[in-house]
Amino acid sequence: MSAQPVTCAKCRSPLGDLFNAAELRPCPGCAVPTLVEVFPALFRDRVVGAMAETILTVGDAGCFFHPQKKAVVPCEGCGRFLCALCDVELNSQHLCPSCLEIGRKQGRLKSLENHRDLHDRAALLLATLPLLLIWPSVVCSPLALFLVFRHWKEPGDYVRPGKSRFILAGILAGLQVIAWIGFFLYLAIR
Amino acid sequence: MSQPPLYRKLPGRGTRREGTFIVTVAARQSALWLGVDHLLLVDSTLASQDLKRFFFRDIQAVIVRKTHSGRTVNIVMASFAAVVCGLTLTVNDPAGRIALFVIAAFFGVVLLVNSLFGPTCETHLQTAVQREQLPSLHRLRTARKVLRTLRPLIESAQGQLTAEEARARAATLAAAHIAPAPVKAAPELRPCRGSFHTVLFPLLLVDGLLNGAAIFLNSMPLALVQLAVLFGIILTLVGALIRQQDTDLPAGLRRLAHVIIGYVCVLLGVGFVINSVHAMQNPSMQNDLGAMKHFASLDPFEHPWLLVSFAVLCVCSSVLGITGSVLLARYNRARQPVVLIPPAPLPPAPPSAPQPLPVAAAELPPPLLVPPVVPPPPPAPPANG
Repeated sequence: MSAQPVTCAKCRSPLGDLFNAAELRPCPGCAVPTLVEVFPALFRDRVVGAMAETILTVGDAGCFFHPQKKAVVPCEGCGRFLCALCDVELNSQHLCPSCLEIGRKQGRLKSLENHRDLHDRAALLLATLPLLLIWPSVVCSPLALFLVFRHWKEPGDYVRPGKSRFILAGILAGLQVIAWIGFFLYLAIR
Repeated sequence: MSQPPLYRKLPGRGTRREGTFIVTVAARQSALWLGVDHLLLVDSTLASQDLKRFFFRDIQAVIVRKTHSGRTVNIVMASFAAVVCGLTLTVNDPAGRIALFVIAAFFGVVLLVNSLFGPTCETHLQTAVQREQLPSLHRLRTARKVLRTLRPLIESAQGQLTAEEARARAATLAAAHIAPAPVKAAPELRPCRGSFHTVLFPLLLVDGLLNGAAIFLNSMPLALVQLAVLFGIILTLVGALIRQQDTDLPAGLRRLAHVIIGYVCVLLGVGFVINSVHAMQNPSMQNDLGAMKHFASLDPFEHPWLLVSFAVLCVCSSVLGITGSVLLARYNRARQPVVLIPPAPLPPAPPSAPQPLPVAAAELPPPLLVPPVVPPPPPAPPANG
């Protein structure tokens, strides 16, 4: 069995005696009350990757990346034939490594996305925080408007998608820009 | 390509800190969201999000470990509230009492809220390839609640495992995989010159004396000297705290420096409160120098709160100064190299009889007589002619 043991985060003592206990029990190493919930995945053997088969029969399709290996599935992104080694299964989709890389870089594979820049939050901050000191909004409100227009099409919050922050930031920044233009015009006319 | 799944927020919100307790390099708000087939950990900064997915089929264990941070916060807040309440009793002015009461109430509310949220914990989630801390589950109650939500979902993806079965199978886990606890390399300790400490503790003693003198003398020059000494204490304390790091100073001396910084913070806090109360009472007095003159003119025997303050400060500063000086003297004494006293020079040995030869003199061969070296004859003078 190749499972890694469950150990205390502080003293690294094995916590086998505390598995799925109903209440907190002291860690055998450091005596800190600990609760350990384990699941069958802990005792599951690690899956060994599939090996690609060599082509033995004339007429069998070969892998695009390894022509000597037998193709087992086409890539759902580009249609290339893939051997068992090159086939990457992701959310029930079969992709080749290059499609996976392109999808990750371009953000088309949402389940591989691990970072997102929140331009809507940045725009809203730029539209609201400088109001505390008033004068910085001369610079920050046009910047907020720029962010709104520049990144309007980009996705916002991952778990709460929506354009509400962009809209609010745009309205606030627009009002500030109008107010500043009016103020400077008033100064010029006066 | 796949659409982003809908997520449901799980209870709890925490902060993931990177760096030390004093200098937090980056603080990120962390929250857990429940997806269709996975748990999403979202660490958010002001303008970005970092995402981690834990699929239900891959989660091996969730470990919840109780911590003492909640209790520590309670003790600190209760202490602050008690100190401020104590000060409230010494102030006669209604406005000052209200101000102090508000401050004490703030600490009390923090204490109450922290107590209501319950004990604290740290939670880790383990998969086959990683172990991730979940900062949002830092309260035991929240962690239990989230576990109750997650358990059926994980069990529906993996199957059920009873406690007995889990413990029986735990014995079969390979013991060879247990990694030893990471041991931090102990920093190399260097000897401390202790120059800042040498100045700090006498300054505290001087401060104690000045506070004692202020009970009987109420004058502006004395107040100015007290202020200068306090300024000196703060400067030397900062230097001492910096210089004592990774040195062989005894733990007691290092802890004393931390106690002194707490003492100075309390001192400054109390000073701020008194100054604020005074400013509220005398709105016409605009500058700090005027306030200082006013305080210097007060007779402590007519104002009990001032008398108590001076007496407490005198005792505290003196005790800290004396303790520090004693500890520092001990450290310096222990550090001095041991001087070995050289042994007294032995008197010269008295002349003794010549040692007898191991062989009889008659058996010895006669001494070789070396013929005297005769200079060669000068060359004959050449014949003339």
